[in-house]
Amino acid sequence: MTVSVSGLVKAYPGSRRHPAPVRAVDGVDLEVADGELLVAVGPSGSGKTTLLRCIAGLEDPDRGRVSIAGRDVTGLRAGDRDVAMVFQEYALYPHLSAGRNVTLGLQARKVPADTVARKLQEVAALLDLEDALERLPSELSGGERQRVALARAIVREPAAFLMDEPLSNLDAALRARTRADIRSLQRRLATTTIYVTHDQVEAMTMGDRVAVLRDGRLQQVADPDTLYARPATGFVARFLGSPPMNVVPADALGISGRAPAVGVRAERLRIVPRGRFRGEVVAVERLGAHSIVHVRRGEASILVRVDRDPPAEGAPVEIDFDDDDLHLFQSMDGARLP
Amino acid sequence: MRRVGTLAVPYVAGILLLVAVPSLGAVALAFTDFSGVSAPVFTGLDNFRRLLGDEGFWRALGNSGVYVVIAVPLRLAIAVSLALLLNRRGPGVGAARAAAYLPTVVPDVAYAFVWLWLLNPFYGPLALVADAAGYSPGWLTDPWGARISIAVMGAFQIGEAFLVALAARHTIPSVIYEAAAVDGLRPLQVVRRITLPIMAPVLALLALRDVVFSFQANFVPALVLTDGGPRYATTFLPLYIYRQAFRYFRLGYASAMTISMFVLTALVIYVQYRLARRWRLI
Repeated sequence: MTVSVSGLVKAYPGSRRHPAPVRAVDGVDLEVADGELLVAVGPSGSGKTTLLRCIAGLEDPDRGRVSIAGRDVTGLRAGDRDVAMVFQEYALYPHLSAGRNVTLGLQARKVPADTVARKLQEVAALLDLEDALERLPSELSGGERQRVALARAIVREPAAFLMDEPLSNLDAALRARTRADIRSLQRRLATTTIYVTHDQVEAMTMGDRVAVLRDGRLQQVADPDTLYARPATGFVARFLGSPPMNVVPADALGISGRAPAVGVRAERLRIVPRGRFRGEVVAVERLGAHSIVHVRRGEASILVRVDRDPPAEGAPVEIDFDDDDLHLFQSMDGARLP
Repeated sequence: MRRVGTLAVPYVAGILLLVAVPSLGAVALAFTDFSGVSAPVFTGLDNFRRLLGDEGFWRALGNSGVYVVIAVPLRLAIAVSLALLLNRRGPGVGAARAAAYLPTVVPDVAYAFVWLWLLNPFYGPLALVADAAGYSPGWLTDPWGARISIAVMGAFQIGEAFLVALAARHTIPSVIYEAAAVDGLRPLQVVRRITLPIMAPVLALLALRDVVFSFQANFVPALVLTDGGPRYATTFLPLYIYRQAFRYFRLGYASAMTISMFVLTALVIYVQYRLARRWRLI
C-alpha cells in the first residue's frame, strides 16, 4: 500500500526562552511506493520522528494531508489508520507475556481466537520467538524484546510499518545482524515501510530510497547510489557517506571562481608527489583495509582515503584530484550547482 | 550509621510509649476484670468466652463487615477514577487535585458535622433536593440508609489513596499508551487492559491498607452522625468497644474485644494477601 504525505507542517509552541514556535516538520511532500522501504534520516531535531508520528496519528499536523493506501487518514485516530509502529524503546506492555503483547492489537479488534492463535504461531516462527512467548518483557533479552516489538507490528498485517529507530537500543554486533534481518523480512512481506534513523549507515544499507531531512525540510529523496553520487545539497553531501564528503570553500582546494563551496569524496583525493594543493597531515585513522588521513589546509580540514602506507602525522603532503569528481554547491549546506 | 540511629530515637520512643506499651497493656487487660477504679482482677479467658455470647459484639462486627464491604470498593473506585481523570496536566487540574485531597485534611469531627448538616432531613441541602424530587429521605433514620450514608461520607476522604494511585499512574510511560493507540485499543479498553493491570500491585496494596483503615475509621462519623443508631445499625466495632470501655467502664472486656478486632483484621488482610498472590497482583 502506498503512503503519501503532502504539505505537512507541524509546529510546537516555543519555550519561554525561545518564544518563536518551532516548525518540527516544515512543508514535507513524500510518496512511498507499495512495498518500498523508505528511510527517513537526519540529525536530531531534523523532524524525522515527528514526521513519522504524524503519519502514525500520534501527532496532529497543523497543515497538510496524510494518505495511506489512497485513503485520506489525516483526521483518523492512530488505531484506525491500519499502520503498525515499532518504537525506539519497544513500548512492550510490561504486564503481558510476549505472546499477549503480540496479540493484544488483534484481540482489541475482535479477531476470532483461533485466528489469533494461528497468526501468533506464524509470526513467532518467523521471528524465532516460540520459546519466548510465555515470558514477560522484563524476562527477555534486548534482542528478544526487539523481535517481540516487530512481531506485534507484523501480526497485524497492516498497510504500512512505521519504525522509529528500532535498532538504537541494541549493541553494535546485534544491530548489524538485525539490520539485515529487518531488511530481508521487509522484502519477504513486501509491506510498505517508513524507517526513521539518525544513522546514515542504516539509511544507506537498508533503504530502497532515503529521505534526508534537515530542520523539518526534505533535502533530497533518492536511492542510496544517487544520494552518494549526486547529493542535492552540501548538507546531504556532508551527512552521508563514511567518511562524509569534504565540502569546503573553493579556495581551500586551490580552485576559485567556479562555486562558493566545492565537495569531493575522500576516496577521490590522491596523495601524490606533485598535486594541485598542499597541506599538512594532522591525524591518521587506521581502519585496517584503508586509512583516513586528516589533512589541514588553512582553516579547512580535508579527509583523504589512503589504501596503503599512509603518511606520518605532521608530514606535508601534496594532493591531487580530477575535476570530474568535484561537486559544486551554492554554500556549505546549499543547493547543488549543475 | 550511629547518627541515623540517633535521629530515630524520638520516633522509636514515641512508638514505644504511645503504641507498644498501651498495646501490651491492652493485651494484659484483656485477661482481667478492670473498671478503671479498683485494681484489675485476673479472670483468664472469661472475657473472650463472654464475647462469644455477646449479641452486641456480633452485631457490631457484622456492621463493621458491611461497612468494609461497601466502603472499601467505593473508596478505591473513587480514588482510582479521580487519579485517572486528573492525571493529565491541564487548566484547572491542579485545583481539582487539591479539591480531591481536601476532605482528607479536614479534622474528622468537623467533617462529620458538615455531613450532619448535609444529611439533615429537615433543612439539609440534600433533603431539599430529595423533597423537590418528591422523595422523603430516610438516610439517617433507616438502618441501611444510615450505614450507606456513613460509607458515602467516607468515600470522599480518599486523599492518600488518590495520591498513591496518581503516582502509580505517572510511572506508566506515555509510549505504552501510544503503542496501545496504534494497536487500536479504545479508551475503555486501554483502562481495562493496560492501565488497571499495570497499576494492579499498587491497587492491591491500597485495598489491603483501606481494609485496615475502614475497620477503624468509622468511629467519629458513627458517634457524631448517628450515635450508633438507628437500632444499633451503625454501632460499628470501634464505637461498641468505646462504649464498653468508657460508658460502662468494662475496660478488661473492651480490651478483649480490641484484641479480637485486631486478630480479625489481621485475618482479613491475610486472606486478601493470599488472594493477591494467587492472582499474581503482588
